[in-house]
Amino acid sequence: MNTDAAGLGRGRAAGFVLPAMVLIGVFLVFPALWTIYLGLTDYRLTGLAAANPRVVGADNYTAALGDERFHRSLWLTVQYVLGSAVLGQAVLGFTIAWMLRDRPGPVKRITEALVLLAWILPSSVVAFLWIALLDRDEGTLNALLHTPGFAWLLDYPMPSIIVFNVWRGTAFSMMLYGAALENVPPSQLETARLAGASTLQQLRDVVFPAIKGHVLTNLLLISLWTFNDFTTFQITAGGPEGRSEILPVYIYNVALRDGQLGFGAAISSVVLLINLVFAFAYLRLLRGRREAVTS
Amino acid sequence: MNPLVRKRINRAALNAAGVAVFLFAVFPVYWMVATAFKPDDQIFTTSFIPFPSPPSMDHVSRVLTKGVAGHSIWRYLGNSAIVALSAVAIGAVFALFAATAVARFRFRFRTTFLILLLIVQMVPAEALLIPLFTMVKRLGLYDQLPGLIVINVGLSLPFSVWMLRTFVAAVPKELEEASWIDGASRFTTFWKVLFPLVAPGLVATSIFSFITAWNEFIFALTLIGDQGKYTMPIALQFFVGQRSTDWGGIMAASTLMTIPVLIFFLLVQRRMVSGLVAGAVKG
Repeated sequence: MNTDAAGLGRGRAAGFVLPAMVLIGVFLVFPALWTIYLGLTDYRLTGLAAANPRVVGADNYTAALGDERFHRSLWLTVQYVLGSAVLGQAVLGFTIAWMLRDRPGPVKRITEALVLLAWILPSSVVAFLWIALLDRDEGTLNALLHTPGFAWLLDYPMPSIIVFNVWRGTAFSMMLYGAALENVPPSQLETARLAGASTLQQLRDVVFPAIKGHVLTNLLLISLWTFNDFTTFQITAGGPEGRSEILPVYIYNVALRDGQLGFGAAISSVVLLINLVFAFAYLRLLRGRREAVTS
Repeated sequence: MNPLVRKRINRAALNAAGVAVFLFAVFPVYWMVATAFKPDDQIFTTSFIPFPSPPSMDHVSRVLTKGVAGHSIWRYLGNSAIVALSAVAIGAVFALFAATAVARFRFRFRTTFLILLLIVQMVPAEALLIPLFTMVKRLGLYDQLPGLIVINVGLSLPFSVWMLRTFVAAVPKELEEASWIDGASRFTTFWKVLFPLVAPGLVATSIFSFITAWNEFIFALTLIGDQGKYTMPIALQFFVGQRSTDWGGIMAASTLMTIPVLIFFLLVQRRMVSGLVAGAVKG
């Protein structure tokens, strides 16, 4: 690490990083700081406060604390993250990785590709696919189940988007657990099996201790992504009557539909803060692993 | 129960679960392609029609020749291609330089930079939307594809550097040292020794950025108002009418839009998976 292997001076190395740093600064860091500032103003999309926003201090935050729509959005987001990421994607992803672990190469690769498909497709496309599936009048699910006229997205908006996000995001957990399972020594599993351990016992006593780090990393990342996911906007737009309005959708609706940019920015800052907490937890996890490797 | 019978039942249950997961994963995508090739009377029906019989090219050819909302479909696909390809080209250069520096040197702000890379990846797009919207407007880039391009570069760069760095680190640095000792210049060493070895990783990283930019929705929706400059994800919304939705058109256009993503993805599947996993778990 200390040698100048690529043949560049140290100053030049910093120069290599500079363009990326400037771009990240201008398009990510600066806007994030601006959001925090806007959260302290009464900035609006139209009208008087659009031209001359006033600094109103913590007003937006006290308003948010008393806003029932915000409380509901927060609670729906918790359900969304726990339901679709922690329970759905992580469990299903592990199950698929476990089932695939000793299958022949082609079977493994094709299954992986098919699951990954949902993950790489454009969000606007997958949103339409799920509307087509769950639609009341011509929906495929109703045709399959012989339940004509059943309004899945109107009557069960949260379960619908939770199942949707499990479908959409399971690929990442599958990939990560797939790689993790390759590191579990087969001899240990064999020993456990010969000792008469059931599958569940093997998982608990042999597999889980070996992949604990991966499990934590995975849970952290998928929770974070799900927490920030905006795709459901294109399926339910937060409706009906806000019953699936998770935080990202709530921010968009408040800021750009209702025009309350300042209030929206305040909620964004709260979201930003929650993300930072996740980011630092992730960082600590990575650092802990590196120390465990070097020591 | 006889253990052998129980084992067989377990196996059967496992296979059934496998098939169920398989159907769950594939069905929506299969349905997209199937619907694209169905005539209207097989789409707008309450009965379940598993595949188009007979297949019809009506929707595909209509979308290809007539387009939607007064513009050819190629216009929207072209806008998407301009944005995604430009963002990838610019991003690849910046990411390669930064990743090389981070993977090969210890310099003063290295750790700061790495932590910054990680943290900015966690910044949610909605939190950036309002300031970026204001910035783009003031810079006169509203309704301009270049505005969307730079934002896409900014959005994908942290992850690109993060992922690419593991590919650079995997190249043994003795190779560069040998080349250097043999009297090759700094530029030659970088270009002739390191670059070819990192190239496959750069391709995988670039394809990931391409897919992200090609699929990007929220900034394209907010920063472009002129219909002729819409990218494909936004143009898809035109198929939704006030009274009825043109499902055949949506599915045909979606299938078209998915083809480039699919081809690129299949080209680098293995390498992208390993790059993503390494990027996620290595500190």
